[in-house]
Amino acid sequence: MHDKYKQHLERTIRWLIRSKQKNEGSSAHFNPITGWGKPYPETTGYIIPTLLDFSHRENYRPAKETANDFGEWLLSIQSDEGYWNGGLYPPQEKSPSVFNTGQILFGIIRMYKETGDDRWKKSAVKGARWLADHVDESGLWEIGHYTDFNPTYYTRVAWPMLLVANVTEKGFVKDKAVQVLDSLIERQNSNGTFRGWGFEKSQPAFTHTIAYTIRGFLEASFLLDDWSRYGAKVESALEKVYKLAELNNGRLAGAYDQEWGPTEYYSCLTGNVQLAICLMRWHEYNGDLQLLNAASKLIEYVNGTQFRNTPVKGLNGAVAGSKPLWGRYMMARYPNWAAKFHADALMLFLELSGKKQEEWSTAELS
Amino acid sequence: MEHRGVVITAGFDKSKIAIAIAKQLHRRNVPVNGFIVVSPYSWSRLSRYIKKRGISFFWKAIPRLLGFSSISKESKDYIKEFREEKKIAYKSIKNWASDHGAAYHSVSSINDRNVVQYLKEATPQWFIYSGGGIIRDNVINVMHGRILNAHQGPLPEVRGMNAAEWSILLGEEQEVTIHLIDQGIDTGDIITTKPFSIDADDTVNSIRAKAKVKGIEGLVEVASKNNLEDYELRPNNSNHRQCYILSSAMKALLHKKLQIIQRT
Repeated sequence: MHDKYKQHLERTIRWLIRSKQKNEGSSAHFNPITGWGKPYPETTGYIIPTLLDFSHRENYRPAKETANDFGEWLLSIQSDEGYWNGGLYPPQEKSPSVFNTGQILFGIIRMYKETGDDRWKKSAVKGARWLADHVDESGLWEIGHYTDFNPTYYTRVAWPMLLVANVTEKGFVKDKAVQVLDSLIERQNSNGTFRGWGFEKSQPAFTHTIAYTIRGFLEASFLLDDWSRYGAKVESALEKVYKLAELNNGRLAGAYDQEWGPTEYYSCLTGNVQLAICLMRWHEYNGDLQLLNAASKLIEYVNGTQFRNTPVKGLNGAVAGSKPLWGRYMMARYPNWAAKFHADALMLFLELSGKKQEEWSTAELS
Repeated sequence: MEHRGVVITAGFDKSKIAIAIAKQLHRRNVPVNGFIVVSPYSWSRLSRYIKKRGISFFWKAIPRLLGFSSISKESKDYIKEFREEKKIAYKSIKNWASDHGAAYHSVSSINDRNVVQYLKEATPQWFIYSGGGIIRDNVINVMHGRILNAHQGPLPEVRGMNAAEWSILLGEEQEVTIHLIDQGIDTGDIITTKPFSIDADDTVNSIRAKAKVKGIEGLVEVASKNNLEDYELRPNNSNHRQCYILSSAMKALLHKKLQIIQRT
């Protein structure tokens, strides 16, 4: 079975490499009729760590080279103020984006860690500084939103700010990130859900943004080495996700309302694997193997949707937005972020199951 | 006080476990009043299983529903050995019931109104759970706590599905727990336990079969009595997370762990 996971992983990584546009970033998505879409700076940024992880894991040079190309392209399109524009590339107008800037920082800071080259560090500090400068006293951003509010999944902006702060010892950036997280954790309902964790303020949230929100809190807790601050607080949401994953054999609804009621008939595949990652990160905290079981069901559901050996290259290894393909989330498209999180989930599961085997073998020897 | 007999449940007519329990109780002169056999062919039951376990579960279940062994040739079939040792030849509950004057009720749900009515009239000493879905309040209430189950793992540590497998993965004891059924999942009071070992030639399937045999022995032992005076009932308060069916990847991990255990 683990060999099957490796095969899926390889297919997904090859697709991500194929998503590279000439001299630019990763195409946002593939559509079977219109082909590859425009490059997407936001997701190109966070695809970089995925490619580098794979290149280390399998010693696969093309993954590393593609990550480097993506990084160089992102450096070339960073604004003088430090932010990156929102949306696809090229942008239609100047549009500083909090979320895109945060997501791109994942790639930039990782490039710095890989190479030690100061160009990456300077870029990361500039981006993180721009983010920190625009956090107001209430812990929210004044500008740079996708819609007209600060969504709760901005936890996923605070997380890369903490990553930058850890590497560069920028106390100001760290303080601002914590301020944002402290503000967003206040939005939690008693049943574990969060107000405003979807793309729209009062609408049900796709599992994609639910996972963004939870992951941001989890990773912040790990980086701050303080589980009680955020991690413990999202456990109720994770427990619900665990049960939903188990009771539905790995198939989550595409979106949930504030009462955990499923609101969509289709499944949002990227949300499935993103939540698998959240469960696995929780497992890393508490060691409960049952969480790995639920996570692997979520992964296996997505594995079952992946194409291979089709004549259309853009489909081989692609992960759709929705299952069925005509579901509302990224209808009829195969987004690069679905592939990114699929690869991340597979790599994390393989790593954790490998660790478990080592642990058992060591215990046996002792 | 006279033993008022037992009613045994089953998830399908060819359940070797239900037949073995009935046969062993009959040998001990315990009256087997009847069987509740939940038809596996109702649409609601099928769709529930497919949703929970996937379509592959349905295909894999067909041989078992037809009475064939689900144990692969490489695995030791402890149920087959048990049946041979105890000279149990029956392959159909219906046939056994017919030959021994026991009632046979085929129902679409274990919580069917007819089941409640039957239990009210039969007032058995014990209602023995041997498959057929989750028992709900209406049935639990009519039996006033006299429902027995053999759980394939230690309680309260490993509750829920695939308990024998989870016991291995979670590093818990290998034992079958005979307990009362209440409103929760494997949360009723613990009556007794039947430990067993993992041998060098065991597979996951053979371990499951071994646990089933221990379960038959435990249920027969407890159900032979007309009360629980001989046992010290233990409360089964569990904060442990419920276990579910193993994913394919976790089954692979389980096989690895089993190999490691068997090396020692």
